[in-house]
Amino acid sequence: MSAGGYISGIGHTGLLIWLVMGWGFDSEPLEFDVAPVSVVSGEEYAALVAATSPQPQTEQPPAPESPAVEDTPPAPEAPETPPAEAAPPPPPPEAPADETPPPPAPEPLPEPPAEAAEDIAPPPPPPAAAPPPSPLPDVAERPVPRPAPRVAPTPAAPPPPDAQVADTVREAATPEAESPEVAEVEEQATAPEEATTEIVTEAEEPAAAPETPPAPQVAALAPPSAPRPPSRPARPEPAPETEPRTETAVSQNAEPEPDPAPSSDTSDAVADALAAALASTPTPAAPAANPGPPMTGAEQSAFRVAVQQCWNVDVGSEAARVTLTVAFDLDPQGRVQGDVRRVAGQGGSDMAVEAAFQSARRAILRCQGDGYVLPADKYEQWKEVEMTFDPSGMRMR
Amino acid sequence: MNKYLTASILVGALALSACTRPDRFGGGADGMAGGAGAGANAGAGFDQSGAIGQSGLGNPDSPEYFAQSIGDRVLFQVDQSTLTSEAMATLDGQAQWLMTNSDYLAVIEGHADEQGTREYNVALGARRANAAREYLISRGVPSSRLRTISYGKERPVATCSDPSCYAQNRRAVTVIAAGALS
Amino acid sequence: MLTRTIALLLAPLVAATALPAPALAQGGPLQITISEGVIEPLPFAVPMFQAETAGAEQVAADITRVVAQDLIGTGLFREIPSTSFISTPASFASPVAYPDWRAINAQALITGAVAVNGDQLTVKFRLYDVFTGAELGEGLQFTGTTGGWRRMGHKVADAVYSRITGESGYFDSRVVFVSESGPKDDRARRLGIMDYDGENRQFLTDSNSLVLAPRFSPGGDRVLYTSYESGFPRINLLDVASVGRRQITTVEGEMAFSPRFTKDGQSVIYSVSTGGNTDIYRTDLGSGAHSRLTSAPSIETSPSLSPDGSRIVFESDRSGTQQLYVMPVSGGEPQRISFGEGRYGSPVWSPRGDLIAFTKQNAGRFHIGVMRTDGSEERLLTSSFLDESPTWAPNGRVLMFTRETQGASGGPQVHSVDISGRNLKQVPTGGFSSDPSWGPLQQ
Repeated sequence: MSAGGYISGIGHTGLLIWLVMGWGFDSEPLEFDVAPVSVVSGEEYAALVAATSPQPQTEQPPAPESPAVEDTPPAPEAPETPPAEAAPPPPPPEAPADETPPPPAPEPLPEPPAEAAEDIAPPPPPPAAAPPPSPLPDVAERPVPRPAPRVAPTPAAPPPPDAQVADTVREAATPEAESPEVAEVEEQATAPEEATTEIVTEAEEPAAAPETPPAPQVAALAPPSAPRPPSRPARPEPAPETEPRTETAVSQNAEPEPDPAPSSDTSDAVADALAAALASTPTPAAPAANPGPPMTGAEQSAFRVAVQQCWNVDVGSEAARVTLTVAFDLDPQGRVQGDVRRVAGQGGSDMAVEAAFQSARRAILRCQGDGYVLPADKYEQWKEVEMTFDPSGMRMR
Repeated sequence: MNKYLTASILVGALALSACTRPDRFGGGADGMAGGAGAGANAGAGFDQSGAIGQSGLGNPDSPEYFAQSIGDRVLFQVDQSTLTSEAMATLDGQAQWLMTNSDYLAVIEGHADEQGTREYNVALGARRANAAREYLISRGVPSSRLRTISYGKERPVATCSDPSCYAQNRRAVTVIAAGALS
Repeated sequence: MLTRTIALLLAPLVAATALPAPALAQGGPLQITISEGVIEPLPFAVPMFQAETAGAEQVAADITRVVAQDLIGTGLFREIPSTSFISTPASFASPVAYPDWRAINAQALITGAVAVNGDQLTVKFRLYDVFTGAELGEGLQFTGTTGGWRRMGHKVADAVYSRITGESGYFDSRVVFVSESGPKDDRARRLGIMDYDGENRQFLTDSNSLVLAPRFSPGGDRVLYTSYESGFPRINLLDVASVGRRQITTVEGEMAFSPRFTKDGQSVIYSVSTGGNTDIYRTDLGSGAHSRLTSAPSIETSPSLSPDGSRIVFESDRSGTQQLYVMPVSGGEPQRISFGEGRYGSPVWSPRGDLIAFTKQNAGRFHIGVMRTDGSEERLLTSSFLDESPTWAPNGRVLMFTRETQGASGGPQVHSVDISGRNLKQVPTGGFSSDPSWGPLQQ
């Protein structure tokens, strides 16, 4: 029932499927050089298959999940349940791989396509398996006379200009932009060559559009080499932090209350926020003893901008379809206390939601620096934060 | 579009006359000796280069005469397989020759210019080859002596990337072969 | 498209009205909505993998580079040069000094170790999320032979990619393509196979006869292609491992071409031309039974199956120009899905099932584009003199395609582009190359 259970289930199912398919089916058990990839343990493979969703979607701090985190190198323990992984491919490939490289393909490259022998192994040999014994029949031999004219006599045309897109150039310059549409255009500046979130690919040259100047507060996107928060002491990893010690958070955001508005926030978390806000308006000063004055729009905006400049959205991914809400607590200095908890996420597969969560959490932790700048006199207003990451305006599909 | 078509037709007419120039194929054949032409196409290659100029042209029953004097190819408009009146005139001559020289068979090759996707162009070439074949049959040539093949855009005769070359490449070429068709 | 536009226009309005609202609330958590982010490569650090056995240094370094290049090549990651490192792990088991990595803004850290015993190669790695200070997933270990070191690197990169993006990777995959050489009017073509990154290229056929448009089987063990070996276009089936090939007996016709495997790899769907008319057929490779899927006097070709195997998208000019249609896998009434300007061809269904990539010809240019399976949300990713025949990466994230340059000296080169339209680049194939078909992730 728990999310972890599901993930585990999915992972193991994937493993089983793999076992079946990968074993009896694939008649190409690692043709040449075998790199049969033997995994260390069942869970580890599952982790790979499930695209790693180690952190359950509960609000449990992800850290404790992998307690030994950095120190324990559980990897080597191959025995465990070294499922099929190691088993299937090992023996056969070896032979044909290197030793028996009959002058196969004319290509001087290392591994010859040979390995006929291995091919016979799998039960369902492909129909074409006509002359398996003599690897590289006609075809392979014949080409030999032809040296290795891979290079066409014709001068290879130099790659088109657009081909050399420097990966690094892509320093995003997404300004703080309040409105989504504006941003769409601005991305232009972000990705020099290939356009923006919205199409603007090579296919649409004229897309030059109104390029807005990058906003000033993008500073945080400092180049990689700029040691931004160098001085900050290594904050003890929040690992041991078990249940978020914020009773409030638990009661309000924890998954236990998925009923409230499950369907509605699918469509628009903002609407929820709005609804929630309206709902609570009637009784303003009731709860907290000294909540202080409400935060102004500008103060909230500043906070939002501070986080969004660290929120890296992979617009082509499935995770870009996920609208995710997380909760976390801040200490009076504006630093995140404990872990960032996932409250809700919809719009994609479990893997996509997990990736979206990791991305959101990274944004929050990375941009906090020495603490988010928030009005100290309104601590009661922001000590608990529920943040919704909605990439719908950025993604391109 | 209309302008383009008109231009294509004009250029096509020019190209047609150009095709009777014997040196047209010489250049291609020289450079690429062993090459990799597929069977039928390569066959067409030496039929013509061997014909250059002389004796063949003098003998109206020779395949060389067919290729050079009657005209072995007809051209098409962009993305079309409809025969033009010039094409029909050429095919009339081809039909007559084939009726006279009844021991020859023919493979009609359909081709397309590079302005199209690969597989569609194979189908388009098939359509063009068939249009020529149907016309020859309508002129009395037994269908059993005619076979078609399409090379799509894979075997251009003109290599530039502009309308003049494209016009030459959108063609159906009747290749005369002796003996039985497989 | 329209609704999408409206949504975009409304989004800020909604946000604007919603945001101030929480300010009025007292007591509850502060509610913030982030609808803007940045689009930039995620910085990662990958210190050279440790050599755990003597003499493994070189292969450890090589594998490290493969991992880095795979990630960088996606356009989604950026490597932080080792010269910026403040510290490097003393050993694979040593604890990670997170502050040192945060200081250089590395968001992901990959550590690994390599051991060589005889011709056996063992590679293990760990992935850390630097800012959360936790390992992302568990350590993983791969074993194989030394000759397969590149694949080991690809495996590691696939795992890293998958853990960070939430999607499966595509690095440990191969591509079959047509290698071309010779002058434009007498070009020699032969089938080639290579790793996704252009490495380990080999030929599968000689260049004595024309070959067109190869397609990998779902398992990546066989290839279907059109061959003129017999003098006429026919469909060949080639076994990748043995390079043995045979001609498939298709429906009778003057030409058979455009073959594709069904999802189970047991049947072939292809086109046959007869009397100038081209239709789509299906032949069971085992029983040899045929069935006809389209019956129209027009050109029907370039079929592609949906990943669930239930539908086929193909191109037809029944409307007068080349357009895309979708029909049930067993045939039946096709629904046209392309309605934009220009001609649409060579559709390929995404392995994710949600998109169809295609070649579009319009106003003298060629484009590679994608649309949803109902034809909505068309997006063009590229534009050039001649782009065609897209093929999907096994995870549906990247497309490879053929880009041909113009003129007598022009020629085709395989390129790739992210489905966001970013990261367009040429795949090194050592010469002219076309018609790539991207195979599955290897196991």
